[in-house]
Amino acid sequence: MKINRKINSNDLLYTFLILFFVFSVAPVIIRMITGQSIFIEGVNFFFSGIYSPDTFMDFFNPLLMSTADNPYDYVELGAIYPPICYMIYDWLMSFIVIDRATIFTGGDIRANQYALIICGITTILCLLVLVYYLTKRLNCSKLIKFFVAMSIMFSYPIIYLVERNNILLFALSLIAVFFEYVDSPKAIMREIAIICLAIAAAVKIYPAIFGALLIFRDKDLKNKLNIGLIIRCTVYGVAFFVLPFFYYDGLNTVSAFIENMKHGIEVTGPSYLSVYMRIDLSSVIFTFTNSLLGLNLTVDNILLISKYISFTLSIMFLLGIAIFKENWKKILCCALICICLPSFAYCYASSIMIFPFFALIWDKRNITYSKIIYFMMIAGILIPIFGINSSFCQNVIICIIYISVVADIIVCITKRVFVLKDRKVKA
Amino acid sequence: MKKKQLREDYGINIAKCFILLSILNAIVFFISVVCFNNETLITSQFIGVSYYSFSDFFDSIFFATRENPYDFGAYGAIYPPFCYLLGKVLASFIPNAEIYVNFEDTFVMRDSQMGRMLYLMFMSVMVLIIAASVLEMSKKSSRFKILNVAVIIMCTPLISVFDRGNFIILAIAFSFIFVTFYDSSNKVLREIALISLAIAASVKIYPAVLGVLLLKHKNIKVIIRTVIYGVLIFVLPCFAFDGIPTLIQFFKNLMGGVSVTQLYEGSINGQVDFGTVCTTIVRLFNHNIAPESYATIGTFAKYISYILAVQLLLGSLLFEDTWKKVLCLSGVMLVIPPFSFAYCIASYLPAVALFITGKHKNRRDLIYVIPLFLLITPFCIDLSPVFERMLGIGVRYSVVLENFSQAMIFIILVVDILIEEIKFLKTEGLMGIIRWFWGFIVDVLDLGREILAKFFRIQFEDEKWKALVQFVKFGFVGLSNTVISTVIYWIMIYFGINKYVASVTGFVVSVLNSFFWNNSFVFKKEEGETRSPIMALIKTFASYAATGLVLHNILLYVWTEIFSVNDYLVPIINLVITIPINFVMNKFWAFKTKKKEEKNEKAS
Repeated sequence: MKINRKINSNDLLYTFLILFFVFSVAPVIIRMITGQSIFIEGVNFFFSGIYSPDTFMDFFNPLLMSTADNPYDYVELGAIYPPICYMIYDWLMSFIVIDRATIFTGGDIRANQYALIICGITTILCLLVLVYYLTKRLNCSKLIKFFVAMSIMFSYPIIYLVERNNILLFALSLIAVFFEYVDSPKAIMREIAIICLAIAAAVKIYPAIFGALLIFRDKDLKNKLNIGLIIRCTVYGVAFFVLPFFYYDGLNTVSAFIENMKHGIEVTGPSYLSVYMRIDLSSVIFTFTNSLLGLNLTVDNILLISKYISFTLSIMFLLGIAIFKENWKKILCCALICICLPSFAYCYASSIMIFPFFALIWDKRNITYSKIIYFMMIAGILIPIFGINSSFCQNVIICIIYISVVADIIVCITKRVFVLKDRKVKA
Repeated sequence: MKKKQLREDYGINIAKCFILLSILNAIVFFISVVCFNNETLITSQFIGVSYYSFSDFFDSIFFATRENPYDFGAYGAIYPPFCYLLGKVLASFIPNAEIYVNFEDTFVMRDSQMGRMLYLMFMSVMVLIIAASVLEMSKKSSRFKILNVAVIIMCTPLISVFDRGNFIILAIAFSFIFVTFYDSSNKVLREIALISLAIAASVKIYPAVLGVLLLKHKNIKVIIRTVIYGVLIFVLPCFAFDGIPTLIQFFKNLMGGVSVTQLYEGSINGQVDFGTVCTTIVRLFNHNIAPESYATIGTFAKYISYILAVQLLLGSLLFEDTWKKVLCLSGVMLVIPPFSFAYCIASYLPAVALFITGKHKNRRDLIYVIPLFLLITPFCIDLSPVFERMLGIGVRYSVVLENFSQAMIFIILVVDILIEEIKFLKTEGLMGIIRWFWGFIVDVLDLGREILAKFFRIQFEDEKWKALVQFVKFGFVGLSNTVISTVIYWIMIYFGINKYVASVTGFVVSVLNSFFWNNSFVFKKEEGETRSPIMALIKTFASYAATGLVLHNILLYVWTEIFSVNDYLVPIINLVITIPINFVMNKFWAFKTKKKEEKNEKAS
C-alpha cells in the first residue's frame, strides 16, 4: 500500500538518527549528567559481558593459529575459517615484530605493541571502507552523512563485531564495495565488485549468497542477466576458496577444515547463555520456547527443529530472491539466509542486516507501509537500545522478520498465481 | 591555449607524482617486510618497543578522574582543561574508572575490555573525520579520492599518534574540519569549521594560529565569533574542576614542563622541534657535540625560530594558495614549541592533504613533492646505517628523515616567502601593508559601532565617529612609540651607551615615528588641504615634549606628593590625561590643515 503523503528515503534516515539518539545517545548523556554509571547490572552488551578478558580475540587467536605450519591441526582451538583467512593473518603477522618462540596464546600476541596497532589499523580501515561505501549513495547533506556513518560505526552489531574483531568486518567492507560497483557502467569496476564478493565469500562462505543477486537482477537495471559476470564471479570465488588450501597441505587440509567445522558445530548447542550472545535459529527458537513461553525443550530437540526450519526458511528466502521485485527485499532475503543457515551465529552476524537497511534507503520507489515496517524492524536490530539486552531483543525481532518475510513471499506468490489465472481467464 | 592547459595540469601532475611515489613506496615497503622480514622498517615508525602504547590517552583519562588533575604531584597535568573534561566523559565508559588510584593503574585501565574498545572507537571516529575531510578536499579537482585518503591515513605521523594515543589527534581532526570548511558556501558548515578551530586550539593551543586564514576575507564578525568560541571552549571546562585557579595551575604546570625540557644527544631519535632540527643539521658536521653545547644550540634555535615564525606568518598572509598558507601555519606550530615529539609532525597533515588535492598553477610547487613525501611516508628503505654514518650515532631513521624534510621545507618556504615579499613590495609597497593594517582596525571599529547601535542603541554621528577612529589610530601610534623608545633604550644600554643619551635618542626616534604615521595616516590631508611639514614636525616635538616630559612630570609630582597615589599606578593614571591632551594638540595644532584657496588669498 502506498502512502499519500510525500515521504522520502531521507525521512527514514532522519527517523533512524532520531531513534538512535533517543534510545542510545540520550540515555547515556542523561545518566552522565545525573552522575549515574552507564553500566547497568545484568545488562550484557558484549560477548561474555563487559569485564571480559577476551576482547579482540577473534583477531589474535587466528593470528596465533596462522603461525603454525598448518592451522587446521589446532582441532581443539578450532581453526574453522577458510584457508584464505589464515593466509591474510599470516601476512599480517609479518608486520608484527615479536619473538615467535615466546607466544603460546592469542593473549601473548595481543600484549605486543605492534600486534595491537595492526589490529587497530585493520579495524579502522575496514570500518572506513564500510561506512564510506554505505553512505556514498545517500542523497543528503554532508552533516547527515557523517551522523549516519557514526551511527553505523556505533550500531549494536558493529560494536559487538569490533569487540570480537572478527574477520566478518573485512567481509562486510568487501560486500559494501560489491554493492557500490556491481552496477557500475565501467567494466573494470564491475570486475572489482565481483572479485570483492568472491573474496568475501571465500572468507566467510555465507556472503556467497549475495551472488544470487547477479542472477535475479532488478528489472530496472540495464545490465540484466550477464552470464559472463556470473561465471567469472563463480570462478573467482572457487579460486579464492580452494587455492589457499594448497598454501597449506592441499586437499588434506580440506578434510581437516570440514572436521574442524563439524567439531565447532557439535560444541556450540543453544543454552540460556546463548540467548545473550547468539542469533542463530536455534537460539531464536530457544528464546521463544524456553525463555518466553516457558517450555522446557531439550537442546537436542531445539537443534533438530532448527535444522529443518532453517532449511525450509532458506528455500523460502531463495524463492524470495527470485520473486521479489524490490532489490532491497532480495538483499534482505540474502541477509536472512546468512543469519538462519549457519548452525551457530553470534550477535555480530546481524551486522549483515546493514545491507538490506541501506538498500531500503537507496530504493527510490515510493515509501509503502511495508517498507516502513521493515525499516523499523531492521533499525531495532541495529540500534543499541540502552538498558536492555540487545541480543535478546535481536532474537525477538529477527523471529518477527522471518515470519514477515515468509508471509510476504506467500502473498507475492499468491498474487502472481492470481495474475496468471486472470490472464488465462481473459485469454 | 596549450600553455593554459599545461598550467591547469600541474595540480594533477603533483597529485600523480605524490600518489605514484606513495604506491611505489608501499609496494617496496610490503615486499621488504613480508619477503625479507625487514623489522627496522616497522620498529622505526614508533617511539620504540614499549609497553607504553596508547598511554597518553589513558593518562589523560586517569588525570581526569582526579578531583583536580592539575594537582597530581610530580606528574603535572599539562593539557588544557578541555582535554580533561573530555577525559571525564570518556572515563564514564570505563566501568569503575575511579578505582584506578595509582598512576601505574592506567595500564590496567588500558588493558580492560572497555578501555580497549573505547580507544579503538575514539580513534575510529577521529580517522573518520580526517578521511571525510580529505574526501571533501578531493572533490574539487582530484581523480584519486580514495588514494588521497589512503596516503593521509596510512602515514607515519598518524600511525605514531595511534601508538601514543595523544590527544593531538583531536586537534588534527578538528583542524582538518576547519581548513576544509572555513570558506564553505554552506553557513552551517562554516560555523562548524569555526567551532572546530576553537576546539583544536582548546586541545593543543597552537592550532589557534590557523585562525590567520580568517584574516584573508577580513570578516571581522567571523573572527570575533571564532575568538568567542575559543575563549568559551578553553575557559569554561575549568569550571568542571576548581574554576579559574585550575587555569592558573595549568599554565604553571605547562611552564614547568617547558622549563625542564632540554636538548640532548637522544633528542634526534624522538623529537621534531626546531631545536632538534638544528641539532640534526649540526651533527652532520660535528659528531662530537659536547653536552654543554646542546644548550647553545637550543638558544640559537630559539632565536632563529622566532624569526622563522614571523617569516612563516608573513608567508601565510602573502601566499594565495590555501595549502601554502596552511603549510606556513603548520610550520609555526612546529617551530615555536620548545619541544615536540615525533607524532607532532601530524600537524602538517592538513597542509599535505590540501597540497595533494589542490590546484597548482605554479610549476615551483613541484619542489615541495619530495620533502612533503619524505615527511609523512613510512619510507621503504632502511636508512639507519646511512644516517648513523652521517650523524655518528645510532638513530631511528624515520625521525631523522622527518627532521631533514622539515629543514628542506623551511628552506624552500623561506625562499618562496622572500620571492612573494619582493613581489608584494614591488606591487603594493610598504604602504600596502600599512593600508591593510589600518583597514583592518577600521573594520573592527565599524563592527563596534554596529554593536553599540544594535544592542545599546548608542548612535554616533559620522563626524564624531571619524574623530573616534582617529583617536584609536593615534593610540596605536602611541603604542608603537613606546615599543620603539624602549627597544632603542635597551639596545643602547646593552652596548654601554650613557642612559640619558639612550633615553633622549629613544624619545627623538619615537617622535619621528609618530610624526611619520600621524602625518601619513592619522591626520591625513584631504584633497585641497595643505600644511607645512617642517612646522608640523616642530609642533609634534613640542606637543610630545609638553605632554610626555613636562605635563607627565608635573602630574607625577601632584599624584605622588599631594595625593599620595601609589608610584606604580601613577603612569597609568597619567596616560588617561596625557594621551587625550596630546591628541588634541596634534589634531588642532600640530597637524592643522589649511584650505589651499585660503592660503593663496593670504599670500596675495
